[in-house]
Amino acid sequence: MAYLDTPTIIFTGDFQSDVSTVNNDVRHYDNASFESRFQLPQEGQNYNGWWNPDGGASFRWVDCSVVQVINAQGKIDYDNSLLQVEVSGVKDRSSGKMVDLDPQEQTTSELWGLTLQFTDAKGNLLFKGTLLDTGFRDLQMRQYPKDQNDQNYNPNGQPLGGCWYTCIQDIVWGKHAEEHETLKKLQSITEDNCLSLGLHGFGYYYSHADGRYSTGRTNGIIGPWKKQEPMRFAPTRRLYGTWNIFSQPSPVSTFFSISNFMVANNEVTVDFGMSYPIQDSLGTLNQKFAEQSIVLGVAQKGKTFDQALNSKQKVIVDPNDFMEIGPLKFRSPKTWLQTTAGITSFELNQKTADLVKDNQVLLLLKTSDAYQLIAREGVDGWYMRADKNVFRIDPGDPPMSTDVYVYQWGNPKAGQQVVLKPQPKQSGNGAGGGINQPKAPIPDINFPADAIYMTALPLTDNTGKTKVSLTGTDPGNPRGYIDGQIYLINYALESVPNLEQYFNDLLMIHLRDSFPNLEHPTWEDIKYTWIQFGNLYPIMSKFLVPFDMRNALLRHKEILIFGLTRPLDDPIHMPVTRDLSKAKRDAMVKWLSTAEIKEKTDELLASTSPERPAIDPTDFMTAALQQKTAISHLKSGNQAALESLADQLNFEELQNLS
Amino acid sequence: MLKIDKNIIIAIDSAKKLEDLHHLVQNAIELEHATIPPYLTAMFSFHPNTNKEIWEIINSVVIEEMLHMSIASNVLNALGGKPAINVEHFIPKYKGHLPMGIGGSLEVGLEQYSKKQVKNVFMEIEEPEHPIDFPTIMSLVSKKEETFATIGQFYHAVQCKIDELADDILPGKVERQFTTRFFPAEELFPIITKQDAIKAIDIIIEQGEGSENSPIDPEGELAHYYRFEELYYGHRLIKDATAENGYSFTGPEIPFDKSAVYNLFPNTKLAMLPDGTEEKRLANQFSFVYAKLLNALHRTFNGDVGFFDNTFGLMYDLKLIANRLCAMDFPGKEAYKIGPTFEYVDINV
Repeated sequence: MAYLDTPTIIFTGDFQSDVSTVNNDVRHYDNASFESRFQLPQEGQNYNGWWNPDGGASFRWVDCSVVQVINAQGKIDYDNSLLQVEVSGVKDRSSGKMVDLDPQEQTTSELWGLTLQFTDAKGNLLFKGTLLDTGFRDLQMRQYPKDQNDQNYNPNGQPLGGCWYTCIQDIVWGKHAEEHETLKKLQSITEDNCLSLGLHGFGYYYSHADGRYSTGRTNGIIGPWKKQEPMRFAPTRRLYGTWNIFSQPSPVSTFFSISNFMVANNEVTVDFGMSYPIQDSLGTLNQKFAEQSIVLGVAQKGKTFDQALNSKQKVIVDPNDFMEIGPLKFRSPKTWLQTTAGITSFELNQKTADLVKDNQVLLLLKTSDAYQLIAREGVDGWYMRADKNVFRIDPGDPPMSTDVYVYQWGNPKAGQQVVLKPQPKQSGNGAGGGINQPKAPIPDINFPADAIYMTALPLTDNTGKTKVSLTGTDPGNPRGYIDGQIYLINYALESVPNLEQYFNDLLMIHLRDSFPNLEHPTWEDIKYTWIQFGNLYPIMSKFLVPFDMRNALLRHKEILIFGLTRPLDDPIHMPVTRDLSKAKRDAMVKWLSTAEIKEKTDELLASTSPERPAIDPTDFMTAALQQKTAISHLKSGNQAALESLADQLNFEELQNLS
Repeated sequence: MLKIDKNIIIAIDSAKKLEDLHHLVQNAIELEHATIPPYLTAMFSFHPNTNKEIWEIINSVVIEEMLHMSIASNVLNALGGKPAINVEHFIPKYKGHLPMGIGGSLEVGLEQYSKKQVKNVFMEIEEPEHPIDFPTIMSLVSKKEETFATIGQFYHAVQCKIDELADDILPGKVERQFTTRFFPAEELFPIITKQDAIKAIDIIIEQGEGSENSPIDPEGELAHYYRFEELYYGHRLIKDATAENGYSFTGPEIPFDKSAVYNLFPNTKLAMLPDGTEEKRLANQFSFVYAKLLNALHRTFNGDVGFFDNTFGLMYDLKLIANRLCAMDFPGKEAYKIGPTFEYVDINV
């Protein structure tokens, strides 16, 4: 069960994600219609370059420390020696980066090159490792108003939260790890020198408020990892929210939209840190729930709860149809998430222990005279998910693959047929709202369909696993001003037509256009791309190298080549590598390696690009060329729509909660 | 001219074995580093893409100070020592004196760019043993008093002592010698023999001071002092057959846009910023990244020479944060912006 398995180490704190936002809007990729104001911050309803055009893409741990340890027997160890231990990235390298696949697919921002380190109070290293790259999933609304008059529940401007699941790899254990029984135990039982990590992110600040601009809250849960488990999600069971108070129900705005749980040690352990509705940006539990009794239950044998998810309808449950496992308890609604990450265990008795093996677990709101259903496990307890969900494919690449796992009631399920369902051609996302919008058209996605090729999947094996293979051919520049095409592929279980899934469980692919393998590429061959990146990453042009100036680029060629050729998981990689095909990157490197500086002064090479300085900036650390891949943090392509949903809260129904 | 505590020279002179020089060369590393924050602060004080010519001149000195820090670390490694870069006291207190008491009463602070800072601090730091007096357009230069010991003399003393005490082959492990493709091989090279050490130290002296008769160092570039003097006079130093020493500050003007300089609060400290503010967070992050950079350099200079590549990312982070910080209003200090906080911070809060 990965991160929920014991022993479990829980840390909390903040993260900072200094995302770039010029590349949030796909239309900013069009050099021909690019305007200099797209590099300026948003002004009211004029989105310009959105809220952080000078973002540097870094993702950093801020002030994180261990707050709780659960021992191997599943009990909280209040005297554990790891309590208060500092959690950070490694202290001699750049921080990690957060990266979106594409402006038209921003709903699973990935962490790249992020490290994690435990340091004791004396400064001794306990362990350190690097997170396997992973995109966030299980996006859901976290911040709700506490009452009808509450105008302060969303000071940060982003009420959603998400989860990253991954493995901490290549762990180096410090000699002082020996002093901590929990670390010794973890080290002895985990496999491949790898630990499992679940990470909540919420309360992210778009606004310059509370001294928290570009930061958010995070809870980390570390547990052992086993070879037969997926690496980018945990093989848990899942609760799906059933109650939505929005006038337009949406999966992300359902209370307790998705919560992972596992059954072990004669307990049910639920991850409420990913789902409990809160009423501010810091994680104070929403009083509409905190002031009432929430109980965990399990369906009686033969009883099935198949109510539609995301419904506005209140579903009252007959007490005879389930058994109560226990109430959700906490000490303080203000500090509970900060001190426990919402990881909560419910003890089972003989009857409930027997029931939970193969019956739906339920989450209910207990009032004086009734139980209202607020979340339920999927019917028949299915959970299927692709381990890797983000793919960057160049035409002609060897097949890229991911494992897909199928579980039922928390156990691997063999002999299952997973089927892939490519989405049809459709309007693409990636455009901001407001007034004075960019003029470029918004490209359609998912076409041409035949450019992506998938083989049929074998049946799942005894570990519940099967494999998807993906290859691509040249899509033929279907989006015009932006490279390649975005493909979204649903996956389903053939034998379970109404499988409950996270709404965004897709394979997300950026298939790149082909680009000729030129022996001596010229400026003309690659200038469109340089200019495009100069437009999209003003921070580079402002402080490093103006990307639209041929000579300036060549003056900095050593460091540019250095940055362009770093591997993607190295945080010093060039920002452009997010969007670049290998062939295009090779051409840029070749050009840098072979072209000569021309005697004449640099001229402005892009008539439509923003105003440039007369002298090309150089830098004592042009050297540093790294990163700043545009990322957007918790920024969904449907962000505007989601925010508008948040404005449509039905306060009357919310009040009815009490 | 910078004065140096005579006891330092005496300590070098009285060294009986190479180990006795270790802490003195460590001091040299600290000295080379100590000059960088003041220069960077001046660079960070420029609005983006302004005063580029001045920026590049200071930048060129910073790069060479980084080179000198690397050379001094190689010397210490060659002598069998271990550079200590990642400790809090490695960063001097600004405003304060330079390491080893060099500079006598000179106090070096972190301030925005100004001709006053160039004249009173930068030129003082880099002043050669025998500065050459070149005529200026305004003929502003006045003769300076002769004083005694300089940074150059300190390095000369170290050279002499190595020559006296060391075998031809120095005791340090060769694999701890740091080189990189980002510095020319003729300037940063492995120090294996004592001749290598003497040659390497010459580079530090000459790039800083030039020679006694010329402002040009062996690489054909102006020594640091004269680059700063160009900034002070606002004109390039060019060859001038009519001038007594063959050069004069009558070259092209170096434009200075005073309005494009952030009014940084001098020697900004983290403690000056109110807790819980965006400003404090950013300043803390600057210091944290600076500490990470020192950690990375420590690792580089202590046997993991390939780790140097990782410093580029940290330098970029540092610059990016500084550029934002210096554009921020200083809470409670009207009309001031926040200066970069070169303090050692081990935890990102």
